[in-house]
Amino acid sequence: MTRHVSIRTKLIALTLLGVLAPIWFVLFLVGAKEIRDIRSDMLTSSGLIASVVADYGAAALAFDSRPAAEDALQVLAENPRFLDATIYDNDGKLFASYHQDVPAARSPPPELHDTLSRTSLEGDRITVVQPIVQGGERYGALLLHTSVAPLVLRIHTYLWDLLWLIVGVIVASLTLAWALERLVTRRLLRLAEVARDIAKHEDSTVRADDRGSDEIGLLAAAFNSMLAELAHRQEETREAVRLRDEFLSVASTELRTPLTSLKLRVQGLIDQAPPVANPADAERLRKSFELAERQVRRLEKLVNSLLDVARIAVGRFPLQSEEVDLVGIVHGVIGQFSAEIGRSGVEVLLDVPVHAVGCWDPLRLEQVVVNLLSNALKYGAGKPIEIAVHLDDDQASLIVRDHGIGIDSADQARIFERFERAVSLNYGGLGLGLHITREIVHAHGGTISVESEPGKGAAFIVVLPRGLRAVAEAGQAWTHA
Amino acid sequence: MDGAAGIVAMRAAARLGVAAAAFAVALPATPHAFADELEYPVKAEFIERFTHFIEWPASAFEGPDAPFVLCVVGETPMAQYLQRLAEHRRIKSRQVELRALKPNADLSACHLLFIAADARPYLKQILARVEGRPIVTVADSEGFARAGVLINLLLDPEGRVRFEISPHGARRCALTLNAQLLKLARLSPSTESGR
Repeated sequence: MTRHVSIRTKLIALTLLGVLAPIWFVLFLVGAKEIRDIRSDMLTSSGLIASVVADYGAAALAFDSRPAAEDALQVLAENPRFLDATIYDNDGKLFASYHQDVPAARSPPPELHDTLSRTSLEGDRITVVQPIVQGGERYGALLLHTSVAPLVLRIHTYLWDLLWLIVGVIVASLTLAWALERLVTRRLLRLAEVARDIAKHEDSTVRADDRGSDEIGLLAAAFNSMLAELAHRQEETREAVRLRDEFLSVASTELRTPLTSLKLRVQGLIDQAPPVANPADAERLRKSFELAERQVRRLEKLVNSLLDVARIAVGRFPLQSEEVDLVGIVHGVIGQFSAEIGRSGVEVLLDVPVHAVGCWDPLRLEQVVVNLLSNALKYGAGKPIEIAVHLDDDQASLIVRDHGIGIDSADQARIFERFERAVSLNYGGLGLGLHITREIVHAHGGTISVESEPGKGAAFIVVLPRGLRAVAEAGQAWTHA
Repeated sequence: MDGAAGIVAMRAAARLGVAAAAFAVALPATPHAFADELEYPVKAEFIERFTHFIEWPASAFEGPDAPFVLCVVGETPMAQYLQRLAEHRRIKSRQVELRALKPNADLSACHLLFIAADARPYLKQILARVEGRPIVTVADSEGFARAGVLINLLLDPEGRVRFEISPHGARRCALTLNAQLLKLARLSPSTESGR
């Protein structure tokens, strides 16, 4: 997961690795070789000294002269690394001995039957067993103990040097990484900061001020030209949206004027039509009038929707709130739709309290119920529709549930946007209903959400705050009275 | 230091091999008697040991298989021990040939010449004849070293066998002596420089 590690850390790690790894390797090889050499030198020199002393001791042993043997051993006194030495005769009996300062614990006589010298490193000392031979005749053996303190000292010095070297290398690496960071990371971070600022303040006029001509400079230049392009596109988009909203506003207003007069004229025709004698003709005429009226109403609805959207877009969406009963509105809307409900044979099930009073805009609230119910009828596939109202102290909720085609989870957020529908084919309309509904609910300070599974229907849940506390208190007062 | 002398004696006896071992069984038990009885075997052992510290030139031998010639001039109690040495031991990896010679005999074939006390009248003449040759002269008589015998065996006050070396004799023979041997010896006639 190296992507989550900062460049600074990577630089430090790489520099340390790059410097330490070869140093370690070389030091390890050199150190191991040197220590091995020192060790082997010490073993060799101990063996050499032992053989010289054994030479001196040979005559002393051959002619049974202890003082001469002790003289021979005194040679060792010159160097403190010789801890002790003992000359044994062929029977393993002590013949002469030397020890540096404190008498060492007498070591048992070594195996004396060898004619070859043995040198071994045991713990903190080197042990040499050197047979004493002269003219092919063996007279005894010399046991010599040499301290390995010089070797240990050498190793310690070496380790300390190593430690200091590593500390030095780490300091050097950090300095190097710091310098590299100044060169690279800091400039990248400044670039990232500019990007963050732009996202935060939505100000695309900011530019990165890195003028370098290296890779980071190129990145900054590309970044700046991308920002310029972004600003240009943003401006274009804004202009397009403005034009569209203006068109919507003008178009809907312009459409309303002839529509109103058309509606009045149709109504006038229905009211003032002369009676027709032939019942078949009369029936045909009545059906034509009905159709014309329905189409005019539908047209009016569409134009109103466009007008609403245009108002929403320019932010002119005033509410005229008063104390209203949501349950009453629900009953009214079902009444409006009774003909359509009767025609389609859909069952509408109600789960509502007697009253659900809040401070809302009654016309807008009616629009919400109309939109949700007409959606449920449209997409409900003829299955029963449930409408429920629940009431809390602070809020009222309205749930409209159908058992129709449902909405794919990917589309659930999209359906509340302008001109968006989950399914575009086989169903008419501009795709504005849910957008307007959401805007009305938001204007009341409420929320709207959808729960749906494709093929199992959808439930739209509107939660509205009940508005002024005075209203709630008035309601309570009325209840108690 | 009686014990030390005893140790030397015992080691010397051990060196003499099977015959010496048989001889050791017959030894008296007291240390002093032990030392007295062992004087000659120890001296014989010393003579054998001297050869380890002395180098003879290859030209001193007639061939690679030629024996080491050990000559004795005069009568000495050591003769029997030297005889055993000649029978059981090898010197310089060679067989040992023991020759008992008259003082006026030809000494040129000898490698080591033991001059017994009773050869004192012929000493000068013998030494003159071995001069410049690779022949080690050994004796165990007072004053012989002073006269020029290379190695003279003696007993110290504690009854231990010691030896003196004549630097004059060392210069006159065509041999190399190990420095350690010189270091151990009492040098004669000058003051003592070793023990």
